[in-house]
Amino acid sequence: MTLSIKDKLMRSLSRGAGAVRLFVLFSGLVLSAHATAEVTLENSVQKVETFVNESGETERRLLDADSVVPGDELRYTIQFTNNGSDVVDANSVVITNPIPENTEYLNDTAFGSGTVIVYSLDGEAFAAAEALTVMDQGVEVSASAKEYRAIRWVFQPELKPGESSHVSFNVRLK
Amino acid sequence: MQPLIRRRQHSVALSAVVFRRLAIVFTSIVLPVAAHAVGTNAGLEIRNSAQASFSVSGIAQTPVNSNSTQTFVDELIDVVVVSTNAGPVGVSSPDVGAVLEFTVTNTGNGVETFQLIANVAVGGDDFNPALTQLYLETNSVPGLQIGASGDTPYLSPGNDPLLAEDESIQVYALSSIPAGLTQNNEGALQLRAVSTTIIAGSGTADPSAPGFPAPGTSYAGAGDPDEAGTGNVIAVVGATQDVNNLLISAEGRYVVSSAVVALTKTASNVVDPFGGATLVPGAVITYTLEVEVSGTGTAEALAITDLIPAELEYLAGTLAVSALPAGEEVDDDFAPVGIDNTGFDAGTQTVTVSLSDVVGGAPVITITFDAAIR
Repeated sequence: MTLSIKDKLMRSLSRGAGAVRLFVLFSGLVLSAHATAEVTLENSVQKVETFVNESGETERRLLDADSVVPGDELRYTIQFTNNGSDVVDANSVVITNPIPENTEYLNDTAFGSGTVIVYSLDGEAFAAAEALTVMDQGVEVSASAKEYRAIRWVFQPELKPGESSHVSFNVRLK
Repeated sequence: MQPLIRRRQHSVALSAVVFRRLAIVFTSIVLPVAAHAVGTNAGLEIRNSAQASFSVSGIAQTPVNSNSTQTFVDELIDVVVVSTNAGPVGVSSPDVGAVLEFTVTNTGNGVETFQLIANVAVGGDDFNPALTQLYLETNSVPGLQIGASGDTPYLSPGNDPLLAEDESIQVYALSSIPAGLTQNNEGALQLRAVSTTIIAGSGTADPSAPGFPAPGTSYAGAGDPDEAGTGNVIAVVGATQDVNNLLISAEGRYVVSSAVVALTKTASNVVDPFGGATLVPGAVITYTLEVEVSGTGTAEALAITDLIPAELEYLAGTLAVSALPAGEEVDDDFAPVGIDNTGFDAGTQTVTVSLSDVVGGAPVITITFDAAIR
């Protein structure tokens, strides 16, 4: 994987234009390569767009997040892969993703096959959505999805060498 | 996945191909309504990264981080023009110096320059006002002031207003009104604000022109600079430039209206010195003048004067007016001129009441005073 990114970098460098940004990206990956991790995370973003198809029905589709404006819905997908030779323990892969700044989480969009999903209002304490409450004028009420600051997925199965899965969530750009 | 890279290619290769592709992608999209006046600022970077912990054979391993996705927020071009007059502005026929007021607000998420276009050939009215000049509110004094320390004449493109996100500017349209119009004739003037990015990108400022962009049309590299200083983000035409373009323009109206002043004078409450009601010397007569202004216009600088005939004597201190403008007093000193023009002037034997401007439909103003028969 690192090699292929290097290849991309070289190709891009020869084009000249994207060198600075690519370098930033590249150095980030170098860090993860130095770690002794056997699990790697690959984070990507797409734009979720609602459109009316030829039959006049409303559909949703995923597009490159090339052009995003306030109000747009974004989907973040985190792919996790066991690149090592050992089996990763069941119930041990815990993925945490803070909600990006300037965005708000969209209710019920967090997804992850075989995962238990919990949320946090402060980025530290995590609980199931139903258990998250806030005080509203002295009354304890359920927290709105917009108030979530982080999402955590606990992957229940073992992750065998070479295996991969993914989790995702959607936000709206404020 | 790595929007950075693709974006860079877009802005470097500002090619017709990219343009066309984007246009196709967007044509059938229902865009989110730009109800949120201002969203995240154009050029900001939205970053996301995840972290994972895991264990192998019961032994916790070093947590790992994902790459960080980086997405720049593009500039949404939106503008709303509203007419800020309470209703049609009353004018005479002919008239000059008739002013309509508008507010232009940048409801997009970036800094944008707008060209202002006034159109007097609007359908659904009775006459076309003649635009004299548009003015920008620049002297912080409400209303249009013309002159050295007044508001600034708008001369496009030299002073096309540059508005930050959510910033507004007040615009005045100064017009003259043709002669020969009749009461209640209306003339509309429409003010439109078009982003100069759209004009540069589409070649037109006319929403009815075929080239005028639909919402979702994007112009690579035409938005605000990105946060990282690596270039300018894409500018995207927002929903206010929808098929009807109802929000980017607004209509103000002039209405030809004259004010009609009706004056009724009655003599009442005669009291003679003998307790009767006979008009004999010494009898006191209470005069009542009712002033009613009708019509849709304003009676400006309205003053009522009543000459007391030689046979009568005005009784000091009896003048009363139901509604007097500020600065006027129902006293008997008709002086000094220019400050208090209401009262009894012994020199001319005249009762004068200065009512200033009275709008049509205002409550009837009642003036009473007493006079004795000599």
